[in-house]
Order: sequence, then structure tokens, then C-alpha cells
Amino acid sequence: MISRGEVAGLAVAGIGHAALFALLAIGFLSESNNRPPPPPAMEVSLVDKVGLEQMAPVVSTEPEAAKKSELDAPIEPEPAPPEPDPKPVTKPDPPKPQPKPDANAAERKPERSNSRAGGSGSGNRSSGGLPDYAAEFGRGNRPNDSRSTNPPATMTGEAAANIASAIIRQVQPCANRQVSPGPGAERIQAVVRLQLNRDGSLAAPVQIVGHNGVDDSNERYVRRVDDAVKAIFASCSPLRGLPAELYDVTRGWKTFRLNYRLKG
Amino acid sequence: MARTKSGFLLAAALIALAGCTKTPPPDVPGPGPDNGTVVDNGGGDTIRPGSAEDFKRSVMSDTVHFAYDQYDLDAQARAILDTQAQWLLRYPSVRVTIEGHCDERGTREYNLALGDRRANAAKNYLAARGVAPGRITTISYGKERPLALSSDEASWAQNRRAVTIVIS
Amino acid sequence: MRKIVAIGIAVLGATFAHAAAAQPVQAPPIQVPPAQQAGGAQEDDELVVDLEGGQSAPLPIVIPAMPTASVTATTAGSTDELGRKLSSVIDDDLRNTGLFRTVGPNSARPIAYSEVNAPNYGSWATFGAQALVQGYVRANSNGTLTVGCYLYDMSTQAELLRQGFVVGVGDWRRAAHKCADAVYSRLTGEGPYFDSQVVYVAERGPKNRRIKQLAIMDYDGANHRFLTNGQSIVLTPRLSPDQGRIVFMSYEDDRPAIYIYDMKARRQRLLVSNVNLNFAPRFSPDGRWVLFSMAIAGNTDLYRVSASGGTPQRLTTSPGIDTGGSYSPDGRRIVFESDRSGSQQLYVMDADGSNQQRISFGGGRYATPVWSPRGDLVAFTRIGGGAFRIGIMSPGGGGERLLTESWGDEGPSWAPNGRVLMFFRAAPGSGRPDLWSVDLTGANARKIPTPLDGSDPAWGPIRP
Repeated sequence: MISRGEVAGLAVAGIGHAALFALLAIGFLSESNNRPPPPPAMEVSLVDKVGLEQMAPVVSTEPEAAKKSELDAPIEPEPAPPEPDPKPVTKPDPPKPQPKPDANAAERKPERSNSRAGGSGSGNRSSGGLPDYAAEFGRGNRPNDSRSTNPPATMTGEAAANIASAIIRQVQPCANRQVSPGPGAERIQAVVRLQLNRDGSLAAPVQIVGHNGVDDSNERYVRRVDDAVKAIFASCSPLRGLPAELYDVTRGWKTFRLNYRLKG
Repeated sequence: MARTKSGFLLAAALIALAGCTKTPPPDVPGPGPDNGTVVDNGGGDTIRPGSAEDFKRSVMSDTVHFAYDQYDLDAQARAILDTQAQWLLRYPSVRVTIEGHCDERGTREYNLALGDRRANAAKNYLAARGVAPGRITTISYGKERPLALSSDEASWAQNRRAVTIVIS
Repeated sequence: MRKIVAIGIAVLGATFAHAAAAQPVQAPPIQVPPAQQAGGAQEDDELVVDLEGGQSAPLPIVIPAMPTASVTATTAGSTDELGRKLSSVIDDDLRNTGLFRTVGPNSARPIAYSEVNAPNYGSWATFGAQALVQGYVRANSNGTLTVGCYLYDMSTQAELLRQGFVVGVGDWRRAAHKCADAVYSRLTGEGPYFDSQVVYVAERGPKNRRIKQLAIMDYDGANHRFLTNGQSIVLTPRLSPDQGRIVFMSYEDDRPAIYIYDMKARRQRLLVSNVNLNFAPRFSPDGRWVLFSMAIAGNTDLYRVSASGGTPQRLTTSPGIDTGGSYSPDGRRIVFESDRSGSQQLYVMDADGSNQQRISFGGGRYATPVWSPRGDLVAFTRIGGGAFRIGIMSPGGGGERLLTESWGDEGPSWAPNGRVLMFFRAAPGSGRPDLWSVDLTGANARKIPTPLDGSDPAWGPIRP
């Protein structure tokens, strides 16, 4: 039989026991609970960077514009396409004497023999004699040219545009085949001097006289653009259908300038 | 003052009284011995105190983890390192290496540096807990030695770690 | 290293009875004076035609097998076999740039020896080729080969180049690369890059225990050899400018540090004391310095040390991670990565560590910068949107452009001509990397064949 005192003592002892057990258990598992929490200052000082929020970054204060790409080279202002001459021609070209070299005469002969000049009846089919300048003056290599005499031809704006179109139309397929060597090559414009014979073939090798649009990043491609020009006129030649009477007039197509660019 | 004193005496007496009860006191595991006595875990294996195996069994973990691209220690990491520090303070002659690792979502060289930061973060924390830094070497493995092999967040989280390895 | 001897036109001319066709003489190109540039005020004495046309497509080119004047046996095969192999290598080099559509020795008819410098242009018309590469091979009595290399323009029917190369028989591939380089440069305007080598890390094994070996190979994967045995992790090798040494990082003895491997002696030596973690080494352009990163007590900075060893000089001091690092080709500046701002970004500084300026502001994280050998661009790994991608930007920071689109593309390295990049691409999951290359335009991404997996490629210079 347990007495009331014993029960009370047992209860107190049990609680005290439990308290002791708890104290010892906690003490064993984590002594740090008895210590003050770790001072945050120590963590920061030993580890330089704790997270994304940190000391002011050492960032360049250069304005953004100053970091423009070196590749953004200024593009040369594109030369405006040559205007067909808007001015009315005020003075007609003097009739040009025809002291042509033999080569021209020889080449003109097949043209003349090919041209079906309607009822013109120009009977100059001599096979080696001097060309009949008077009869040829104003004569074109176009069929159905029935005029026997013309006033001296002049290169009007419209005529220039037509000739340019005719040339472009014929060389475009060859131009389109030219392969771009690399990025930026399409900015290069080759300025070319062409000299043609009356039959539209090249009278002299294609002459590259200059370039536009060249910068540090595309300079390495200039030679290939030049190669392309030469390839174009080697492949798409001769140029046909150009008006004979505008061959060797002022601004005629005997010698002219061509600006070429790879397709951008 | 007198009341606390008598209260204390009463508590002491009651605690002493506890020894007189009929029920035996529960088995309270005490702190491990400092000398070389063998702890028998009942399974028959013996682990030398101060050994690597002892370390692994004694501490909360040998590994702490980090957030992506970070090397700060969160509360869990600190708790783990606290247990490591305790153990290391108990065995002052033991040396450790802390390996720092990264997940594969970082570039190779940066990860070598980040792994080094993580290893040093753990080392510095242990040093702050009183472990002599001369006992701790660090090495970074960058992303070269992942633990988990998949390319997903779960694996990457496991790989961002600093591992403490007993070396003597 | 044995230099390939390029022999002159006179010597080649002696080989053939007839001289080559003379090139038409061109007036030297001049810049058009400004007065003529503006189209409005047209010169009043000439017709002007504006023509625009071209295509962005591979250039069609024919490369028949190289004939030999007399079939001779060599240690690399008989000269007629070599002639076909040489043309095949040229064919592969050109086609793999993505810039040429080739008809190679297996499809083109054989040519006669006499055709080599007198091409039969008409016979190639069906291929629509715009260029023709012909050559010959001859075995010399001293164990060398002479390889002739001719390039013709099919439209103008003009010879664009002729070169000859003398190589040891075992180096026959280099002669093909030299010829292909000459053709490539002439037809694209770019510098050469085929006659070059790549050092990289060959990898195999499970993802958590990869075995990594240093390896070196020709840029196309040929002549591959392993340089270390895989017992220690090796990382991030770089070839010296004189190609005689490789600097790399190794975990030998569990102390990750930088070593220099001597190619002739086949031996490595520790460059910097391995007390602290040191890594990410690269040579300066003159080969005298090694730029590297060192981590001390959790902080990584850039240092440089003489390539023959010595006391490192510290270049950066920020508390962030400063690593990576790549010299400009003139050696005066360095681009590197730093997370001092809170995330990995690119910075440029003078080679002595002064004038550090951030250059990347594109919204991603930027790493592993490498300065192009022609100085105009910096390539990098961009981290963002769950992917690693290769990109380029100007050294001033503008013009950022991403070149690849994949999960894990990392660690670009420039070809010697600054037109092509090599990098490694890892697959998600397995993480297994391979070497890839890509053109500067972002086109023509292709895998480089390696015997094992590959990472950390470093493209060497053109071989002399």
C-alpha cells in the first residue's frame, strides 16, 4: 500500500527525473543551445561574398554609346544611281569623222551584213574595202532601220537608261551566279571601266578603277568582288542589241563606268 | 534568495531521491569517451573513434549543400557544420579535406573557382567554431565529380556541395 | 618543327614544257576620288551603269585527283594513290567549310599530267563549276614529296594561283592542307586555317568518374595521339604559339595545378607551386608568359607568370571570381570573366591589370572569353534561358550575336583565321561532350570526329 506521501514523493521524483533526463539529453545532443547564437559579424568577415546583394559593383561608367560595336563601321553613303541626263542637249555633237582602226571596220562588217536595213539598200558589202562612212553614219545595228541619214545621235537620259537596262538585263544572270565570299562583302562597290567593241565584246580587259564601301571588316573581300566583275563580263559577253549610233558619241557605250555590288 | 537556495536543495534532494524509486532510471546515453575505449553498437562491428567512419556516423552529415551559383551557408548547412565542428574539437589531431563541388550548369573554370569558394566557406565556418584552420585543406573539383547523374534540378541540387573528408 | 617549303613559280615552271598563260595586266585599283562618288553630280562624260547581283551559296568547285608524272612507291603509298588522297583531303577541307560545293576526285574524271597547267576547261562545263583545282605529286629521292597546286577561274579561264610544297612523305596531309588553304584564301579572302592542330581533352567513362586525357590532333581529326594516360584529371589545355609546349591543369597528386608539357621531350613540369589551387592557364601571344587564375582562401584572381616559371604577378584584386582571361593578338590587352558585379560578365583590361572595364551588358551571363586572332571579335559562352550558347561580340562590347543553339555549348576556341570557332557540345542527361565547329556566320555547325568524347578544345596556329 503506497502512502500519499510516497505518491507525492514519487511524482515529484518522477518529474525531477524527467527534468534531469531532459536536461542531460538536450545537453548531449546540442551543447550549442546553451551558447549564445553565433554572431553574424563573424560569418560576414570570414566569407567575402554572401549573396547577390553585395558591395557596389565595380562597373564601367562609360556611357553605353561609347561601347558601339567596332563592326558598326560607318557605311559609305551610297552613291546615287547615275541620273539619266535630264538636261536637254543643247548642242548636237558634231558629226564624228570615222577614221576607225581596221579592227573596228572588220567588226562592223559582219554587223552591217547582219542588219537587215529594210529598203535602205545600202550596198556596202565590200569585203575589205574602206567602209562607206557617209552611208554608215547614223546606221544602227538594229534591224528595220530604214533611215539612210540621221542627225548626229545624242545620248539622252532616256537612251542612257535604255542602254543601261539592256546591259544589266544581259549580265544579270552572270552577276547572280557570283558567290559572296563573306559577311560584309555586299557593302563593297567596285567601280569598273568597261570598253566595248561595236559588237558588244570587250575591247580591253575589265578595269577596276576603285572601290566604295570598304572598311576594316570587309577589306579582305575586295579581291573577290573584283574577281566577280571579271567573271561576269567573261561569261556574259558579248553584249548585244546596243544602238550602234550611240556607240561612240559623248556618253556613249563604247567606254563607260559600271558600279557593281554583290547582292545585299 | 533563501527561497531559491532551499528550492535548489529541495530539487537536489528530490533528484537524489529519484535514485530510491523502484523503477530503474532510463538508459541515458552519455558523451563518447575521449580515450580509446571501444563502443559496441550491438551489431558486432567496431569503429575506432576519431576515424573517418566514426566521423560519418557521429555528425549530422559530411556534406552541406548550396543554392545555384551561391556559396553562402544556410541554416541547415550551419547546423551540419556545427556537428562536424564538435566532432573535430573532440579529436584535435584529426585532419580533414573539404571538397567543393558544383553542378554542371556552370562553365568549367568558373566552377573550379566556385567550388573553391564553397570549400572555403565551410572551412571558415569550422574555423570560426574553433577548429584550427591548419587542420583543414580544401580542394575544388568544379563540376568534374558530380554525385547525382541526371540533368535536372534535383540532381543539380545534390551536386552543389562541400564534403568534409577525414584524411587521418 | 619542320617547315613546309613553298617553292616558287620558276621552279614549277621548269616542270612543264610550256609556260602558263600570262595574266592580263590590270591597272592598279585606285580609290575613286570623292568628287566622283556622289552620284548626283554625274561626270558629264560617261555613261554609268549600276549593277547588283550575287548569291550566298557554296561556290561550285572541281578537284580532280592529282596525277603523277611517274608512279613511284613511297612509305605513304604509291604516288598515284597519294595523288588521289591529296585531292580527297583538299576536297574535304573545302567542302567542310560550308562555303564550297565540291566535285572531288571520286566524281571528277582523272586528268592527264599535261593538263595540270593547261586545263581543259570545256570538259568541266557540265558540273557548273566556277573554279578548278589541279595539281601533281612527285616523290623525290630524299624521302620528300613535291606537290604542285594550281587554281583556275572557270569563267575567265585564268590561273588564279600556283604554289608548290615540299614535305616529308609522312607529312603528305600537310601538303594537301597547304594547297587547300591557298585555294580557300584566294576564293574567300579569309586567312588560312587547315594546316593546324587542336589540343583538347579526350574523355570517357561514367559521368561521376570521367577519365580525361590530353590529346592532340590535326584540326580535321587526323594524326590523333594521346599525351597523358588518364590517371589524373586534366583540364583546359592550350598550345603555345611556337607549338612546342602545352600548358594545362592537372589533378596530379590531388593537388590541382598548372603544368607545362614539352612536346619534344614528352615531359611535363609544374609551373606554379601547387599550394593554392591554380588553373585556367593560357600563353601570351609571344609565348613568354602564362596567364592563369589562382584561388587563395576562397578568392580567385588573375595572375601571370613567366612561361619558364617564377613568381606570379597579380593582375586583378576584386573580391569576385576573376578567371578565364585571353590576350588580344597584340598582347596589350586581356579579356576575362568576373562575377564582381554579381554575375559572370566580361571585362577588358590592359595587360598589366589596369583599366578594367566591363564590356558585356546583354542580359545573360558571360564566360570563357577568347580574343580572335585577328583582333576584331571576342567569342564567349553565354549562359541564359536554360542553355549554354556560343556567341561573339566586339572587344568594345557591342554587336553581340549568338552562333549556336543547343543545351550545352561551351568553351569556344578560334581557328587561326578568326573565321571559324571550335567548341564542345554536351548532351543533357549523359553530359557526354563532343567537339564541334561553327562558322562565324552561325552556319555550318558540324561535329569533329574524335576517337572518344571530347572537351576543352584549343585550336593552335597555322603550322609553318
